[in-house]
Amino acid sequence: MTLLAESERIAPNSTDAAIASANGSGTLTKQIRISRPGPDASVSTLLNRGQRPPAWVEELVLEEIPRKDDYGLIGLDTLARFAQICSTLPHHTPKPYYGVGDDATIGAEWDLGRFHVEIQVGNNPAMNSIVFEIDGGEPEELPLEGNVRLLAALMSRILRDS
Amino acid sequence: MEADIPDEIPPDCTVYRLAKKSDIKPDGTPQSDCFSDKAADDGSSYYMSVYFLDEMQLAGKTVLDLQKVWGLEYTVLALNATDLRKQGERLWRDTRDEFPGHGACKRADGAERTRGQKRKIAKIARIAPELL
Repeated sequence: MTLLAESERIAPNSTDAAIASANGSGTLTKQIRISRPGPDASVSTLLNRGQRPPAWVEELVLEEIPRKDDYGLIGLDTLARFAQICSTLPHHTPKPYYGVGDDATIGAEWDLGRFHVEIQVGNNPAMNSIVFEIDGGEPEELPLEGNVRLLAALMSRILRDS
Repeated sequence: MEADIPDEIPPDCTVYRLAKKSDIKPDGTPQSDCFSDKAADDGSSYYMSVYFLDEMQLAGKTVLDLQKVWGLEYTVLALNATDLRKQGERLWRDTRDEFPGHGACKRADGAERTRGQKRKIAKIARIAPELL
């Protein structure tokens, strides 16, 4: 068993998490810090003081998604970014349907009455996106980067209305 | 821009895509994750594996046989070649020994399929009626 500890500067509003993933030689455990401030400046101001992430985020990121990652495709950075995005959602956001694509992406989707919302976070950040759909109409796709605040705001509004 | 992607499947051909049952929502519709291109060894986008009914039928195989090969963890989603083309996809045969009718599905421009494009396919895919 290999144990790696990655030390990072402690950021405010950060959560430590140990992510275990299977590899060919045994279990690789890497200590990461799911920081909210994230890697881009746009995320750093998303969480209001005292805001709690949805309760399902930790289990989803630490256990359920790695279990679905049959081929070990998802990079640790991708998993951490997904956690950051989900942590910006309103606390009462329901747990999404989630999956791991063969193209090394994590997907999450919500059917919320008239609204359908999806996000995708992948090893290739250029493919990160948000999809919105109303009343089963044409899906509207936006890049995720730069629109995380919009995602959180829209989710908040949808949850209020539905 | 059109890439040099083959397109050789009859328009009325039924196209099957294997999906994990855990990626099917309670209402019976698939999650968008079911429609990802497989990543190549170098990390670049490859294609989405599919099976074509016409070639399966020539080999005397059914969708039930296909599902059995992959096991109870999987189900089979049915699409139509014309509908996939309307979504900007291209289809070609890519024979594998494991089961007849194997083929490939990829964006006509050769680009990696976006989440929105996956969603559009998810909306027209349904579990094969023979499996219901």
